[in-house]
Amino acid sequence: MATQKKVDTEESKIILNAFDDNVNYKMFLESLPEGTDVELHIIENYTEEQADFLINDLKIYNNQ
Amino acid sequence: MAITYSPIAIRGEAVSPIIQEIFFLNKTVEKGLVNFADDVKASTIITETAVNVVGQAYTGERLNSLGGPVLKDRVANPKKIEYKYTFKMEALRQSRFNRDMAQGALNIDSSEFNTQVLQLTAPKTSQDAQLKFWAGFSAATQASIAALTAGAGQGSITAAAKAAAAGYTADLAGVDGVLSRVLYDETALGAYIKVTGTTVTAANIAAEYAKIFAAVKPESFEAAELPVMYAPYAHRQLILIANNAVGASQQINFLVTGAGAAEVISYNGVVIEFVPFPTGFVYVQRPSVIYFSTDSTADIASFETGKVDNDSDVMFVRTIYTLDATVMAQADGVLYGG
Repeated sequence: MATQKKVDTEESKIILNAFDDNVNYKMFLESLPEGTDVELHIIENYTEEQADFLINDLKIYNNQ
Repeated sequence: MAITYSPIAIRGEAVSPIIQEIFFLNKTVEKGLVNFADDVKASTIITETAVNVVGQAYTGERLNSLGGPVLKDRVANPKKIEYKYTFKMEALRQSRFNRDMAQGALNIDSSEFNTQVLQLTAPKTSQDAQLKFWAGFSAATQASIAALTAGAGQGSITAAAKAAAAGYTADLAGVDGVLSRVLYDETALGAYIKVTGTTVTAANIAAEYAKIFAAVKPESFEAAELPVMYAPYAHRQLILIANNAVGASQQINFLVTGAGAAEVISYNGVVIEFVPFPTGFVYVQRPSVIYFSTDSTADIASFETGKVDNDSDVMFVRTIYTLDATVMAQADGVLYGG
């Protein structure tokens, strides 16, 4: 899986890979285009094991 | 605390010995699972060193300097911990323990109580010391961890680890144990090699240990001292269940040799030691770089008892020891669940 992906938006934001070194959830979530379905994005772009972990850990993060 | 006792007035015989509660022994001390720095009265500096060497093309001319020694000091500063409870032997006068009390109303001392009940204080204190050593979190470190921003990759703490650290009861004596030191190293997130974790079950424990094993630096296995996997107690049962699965799903992933106290469980040649590490975490590191600093390891398993005042029957039990956990070479350690 590529570590970074260009997305066509007005500002052409770079979506960060949540598993890259020194990328925290704040940076990851801010890199997603506005209105992105985070869970769907994760399921489509990560392995099943990574997605399971990420979805669960982000739920905990959002409650902190 | 006074004696909590539901006695039956002694009417005849009483079975001996008295049945004791089940508790974990302090294997960390008994088996020497880490490096013990005894005779540490107060602050003691522990230093780690490495040397970077960089080969350059020979020119015959004066070369620029490249590489050099890298040193790191950490201070072991043991916290002083005290346990104390008081009681009155009078509470035993109507019970089985009156059988060995000397004649005379002043005499309410029971040697059976001393040897079979009070003596339990020593191993229980020792067990608590072990718990503090591995799983203690000071309130200050909990606050520091709470201030970190979670993330999934190397260089961030997982939200699950943050939640776990916040959920532990802060150690009353302010002890930071091994996990605390690894997660938060002095002023920042620890430099551990991170392996993200999940809920470990008998069905996935082999796969999870494979991830942990794969994350260990390869050169660690060529060194004179091999790393050890420090795992929560509960993993022992999961490992044995996984090894003994029936039918097609059976895979002997863990090697189990010996029995009882001599039992050794390993994964791909790496010994697993079961310690009171919080559930959800496994730490892999060389034993020699994890320091258990104390004034005297004998303190942990001993206690003092006597009368509080000469003109009363109130007795006290006290244990005092010092303890600090220090983890060196943090960048070599693998933390599952961190």
